[in-house]
Amino acid sequence: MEVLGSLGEGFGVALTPENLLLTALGVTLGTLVGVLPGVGPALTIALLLPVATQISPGSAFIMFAGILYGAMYGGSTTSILLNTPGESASVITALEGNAMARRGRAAAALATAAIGSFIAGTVGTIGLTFLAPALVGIALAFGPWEYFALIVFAFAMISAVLGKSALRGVASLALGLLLATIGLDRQSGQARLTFGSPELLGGIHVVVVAVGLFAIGETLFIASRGRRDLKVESVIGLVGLVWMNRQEWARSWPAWLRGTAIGFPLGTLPAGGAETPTMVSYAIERRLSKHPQEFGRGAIEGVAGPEAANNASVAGSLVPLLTLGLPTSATTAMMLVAFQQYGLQPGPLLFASSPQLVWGLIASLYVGNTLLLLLNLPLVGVWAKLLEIPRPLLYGGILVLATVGTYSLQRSMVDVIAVYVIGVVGFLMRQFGFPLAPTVVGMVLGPLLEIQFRRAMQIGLGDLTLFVTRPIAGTIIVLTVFLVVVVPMLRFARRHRLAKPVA
Amino acid sequence: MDARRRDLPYVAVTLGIALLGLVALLEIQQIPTPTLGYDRTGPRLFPSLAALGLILTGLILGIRAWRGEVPEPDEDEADWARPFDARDFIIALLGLVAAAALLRTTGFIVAGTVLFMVTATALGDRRPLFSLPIAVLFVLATYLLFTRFLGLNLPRGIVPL
Repeated sequence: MEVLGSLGEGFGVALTPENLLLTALGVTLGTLVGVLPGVGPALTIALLLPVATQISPGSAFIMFAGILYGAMYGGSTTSILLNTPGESASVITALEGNAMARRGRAAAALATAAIGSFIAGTVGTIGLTFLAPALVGIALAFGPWEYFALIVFAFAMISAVLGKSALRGVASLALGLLLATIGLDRQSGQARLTFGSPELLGGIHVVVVAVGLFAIGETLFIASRGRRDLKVESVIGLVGLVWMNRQEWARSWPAWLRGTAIGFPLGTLPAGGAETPTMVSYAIERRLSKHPQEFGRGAIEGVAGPEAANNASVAGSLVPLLTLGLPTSATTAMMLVAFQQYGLQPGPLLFASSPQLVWGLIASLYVGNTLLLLLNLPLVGVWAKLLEIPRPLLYGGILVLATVGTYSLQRSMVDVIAVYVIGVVGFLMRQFGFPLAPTVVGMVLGPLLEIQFRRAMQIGLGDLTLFVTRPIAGTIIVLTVFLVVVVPMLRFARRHRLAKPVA
Repeated sequence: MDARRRDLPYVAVTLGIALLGLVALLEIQQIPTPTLGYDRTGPRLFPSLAALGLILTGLILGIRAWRGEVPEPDEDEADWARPFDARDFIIALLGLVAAAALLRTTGFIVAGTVLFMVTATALGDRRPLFSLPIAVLFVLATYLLFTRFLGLNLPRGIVPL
């Protein structure tokens, strides 16, 4: 029951007036960026990093956690009312949610999304509460070999296994790894890839890359898509308050629980964010449903399941972040950067050295979830109003904030120019279908991978076999090889079987 | 639709990726390598691996694209269905160039307002007289929030605030 004691102390931290206020601020900001298309939680945290230095790390992370959950709640509103997902994790919600809204069941869809998110978020947080300390015990035994293997595994999942094209994922990852090596090498003190420019000695900040790719690149992409569709598409008005009826309740709750059961474990794996769990949940709901004919025309399970799954996966993604220092999505990668900015290294030692921070953060998740339910059920009409902001003004504002955020990072004009240039790169990547998240995750984890590898080589006296002979590291490496070699072969085989009848 | 059509811009991008890797690989040769200790890796290994990754993926993707195999994008198709609009893209790009140039000279408030307005225009804003006051207010509010409340410095430039 040591866990409950720690959690109790965490609530002591989370319930101070200042931190309650920051949780409220975080969930409000999170809902805002979730509702607004074009801004996501990763970008928001990136832009807030310079600001966050003004408050204590514990409080900053409480705010960031609120943003994480809030974005998941807010994203569903946009999906349901506008059919344009505000967040990639809510793409699936748009399928059934918007169909429900068009049938006049918008309020019911919003309610099942909000309540499902609350249940999944809370159950997921309970999972985090008990799983994290257990994992910490295991992680303490990890040496550089195990960390190296874990990071390689994460890279394989994020770049090659998920997504439609492994090659483009790997290219995106390699770009991130290369960008990360620019500047002075931390181990040898040598300048790398600076092309003789003193400005590059300090390296390129991850925030510059994240803001460039997510904010500038996105805006350029939207601009390049022409003007026809940029009028705000039909926002479906909320006619009165038509609450969920009895049948909708009965169909929702099993989907919530299944979504939670899918989302949390998938979230703990380096499976590239909250999108995958929503897709898995949707596929399962569709298969299990007693009303399969309704799918595509507004089946409530298709909203309840994925919305629960994305919140549960957020809780799950905090497990590897806090216990191993291993981010599994662009958003948690930005949180790791925030930790590093404070000179903190998430991992088993953080639980021992800063219990107040860790447990305060975990406790704030319970608080944030409750606040979000209170914020979303009655105020959803207010959030829906945000959808009427004209796109041109929205993106104009995003670019201004991106510029301010980048400049105030290190008060550097070079950074501002760099963020614009990387924005053009981000535009090209989106235009040609390259995923953005592997670049960001590669940039954050690349230096860690290199440090762990070189440390492993130094401790092991240059013995490479230790990476496979140490049991945990070896298992992870074998699993990675399996995923990278076997999964593409299966995919290849399936493609050819599918292609034959056509040819 | 003919999926086997050769997508030349895509070929160019993939070759650009390979070229980027190659340039990096050449620059990596400038790093002196101390051969001390058991760390047989040195500062060249990781950047070289990343550069090789770019060269290999770029070349393979390029060869496939040359043969007419362009894998479908990961993104939602809705964005892709719309054609590329060079004019609006260039306007948005010019907004960035202008902002970068103005930030140093006229300061954040002017640069931010210009960036806001040009971006809005690129995205199809048809009511500049309605948008301009919003842009000015937004930029002013951001400026004051960052400089007064958050204690961060922004280039002040010509606006005496």
